[in-house]
Amino acid sequence: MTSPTLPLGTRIAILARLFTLQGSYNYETMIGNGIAFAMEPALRLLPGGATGAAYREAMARESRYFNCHPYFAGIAVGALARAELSLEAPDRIERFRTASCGPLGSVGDRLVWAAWLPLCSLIALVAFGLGLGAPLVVIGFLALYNAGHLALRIWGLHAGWRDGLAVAHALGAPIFRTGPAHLTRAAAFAAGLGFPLAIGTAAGVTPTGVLIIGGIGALGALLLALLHGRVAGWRAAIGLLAVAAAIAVVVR
Amino acid sequence: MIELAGFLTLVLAGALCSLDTVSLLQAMVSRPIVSATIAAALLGRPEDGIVVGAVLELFAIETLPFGASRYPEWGSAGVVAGATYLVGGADVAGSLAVATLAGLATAALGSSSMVWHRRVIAQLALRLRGPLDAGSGHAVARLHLSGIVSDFGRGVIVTAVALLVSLGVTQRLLSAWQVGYGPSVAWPIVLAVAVGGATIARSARSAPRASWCFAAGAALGLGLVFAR
Repeated sequence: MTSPTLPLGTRIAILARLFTLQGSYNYETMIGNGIAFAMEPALRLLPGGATGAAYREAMARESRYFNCHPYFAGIAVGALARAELSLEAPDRIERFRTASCGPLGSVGDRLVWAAWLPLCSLIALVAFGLGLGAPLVVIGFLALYNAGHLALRIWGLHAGWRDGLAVAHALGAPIFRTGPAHLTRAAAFAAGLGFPLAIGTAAGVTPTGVLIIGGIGALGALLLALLHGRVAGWRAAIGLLAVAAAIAVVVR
Repeated sequence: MIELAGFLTLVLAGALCSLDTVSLLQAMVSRPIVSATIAAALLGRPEDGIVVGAVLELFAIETLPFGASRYPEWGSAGVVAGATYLVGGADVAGSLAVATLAGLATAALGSSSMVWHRRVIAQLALRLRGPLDAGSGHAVARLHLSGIVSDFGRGVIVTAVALLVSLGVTQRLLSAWQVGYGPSVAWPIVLAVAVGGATIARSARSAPRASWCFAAGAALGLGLVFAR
């Protein structure tokens, strides 16, 4: 078995392409085409280059169905690139592709979409509620969120390339097991802190006004929570706001 | 009212923000607290735009982009809401409610358009099946770049249509608005707190002691509100 190397320029090209990973997202192959597009600079290093049979076979294999969290796709791309350049057997590569979709999706969803993003969003609401200027709130939110985002992308590609098809153990790192719960607790604290502050700033009302708006909102939250997600709150709000607007222009 | 150049700039901003939702970067420029502020900054008043952006952000917490699930598209929605709020006037009764409604409706339109767009890409992938199965790098790149360009086009259409409708009706709605400023501002915020609060309550169940963390944060937050 050969031990391939990945030149820095190729690594940077792959990383740059990972930021467009979902460009051809569709319900048939999901991000499969994006995986092949991101990995393509590495596959040019196969024997025969970009016109060789090995390149074509690898591109055909890698552009098939694949799905995972976009920030964690770097792990798959790094591991698969190493496997392809090591000339691993195609059935081993196929097995890895099939087996890695679930873990790379669920770990990413729990850590990023369900924990890191809401936390950053709620911290931005705290900053807004404290009266920090709009540029500071927006730049602070983007800087905080993308510090985690960029770190994950860079680490993922590095870990995938380093460990190849044995990369699964990297997903057992403590941050992926206990991180979401810590981030959820931090988000809950930020929500408790941010809601009254944001209500006060957005509505421009007195503390009593904050209590009234927050109290009615809490009752609405309780009602929605009791419905256990059967109603999408944002969709229901469209109807309620439309009715309120209709009443507001008709009733004297 | 907004001039043509301003309108086109907003459409471009909406399309770029919507591109961030899925196809490019995913750096969360598409979050409403960012995109609404960008729209308002383009019109010269970012401090007003962030108000409607913050309200929409509470709704956006409920809708996270999990896998292939259907979720709203907040990039163009934030731009439309920010522009609508500024055209209506931050100190005008009903302006926040109308801007929030415009943002939510645009998010729904964007959601449907993303489903349509994904089907279009699947059709293109089907047409390119032969070269893709043969391992053509050109076919992979063509499908990928077509997806990004058409997603940009989708963002242009969604933002332009939503802006035209929203800017067309906002002034008429607000000139006929009969309810006072206080209740008109409170109503969208109450809904946003209800939706965002329900989401926090659901997620808090997944982590031990998260409810206590919320209570501690709320005590501190209310203390700060009363101390001001």
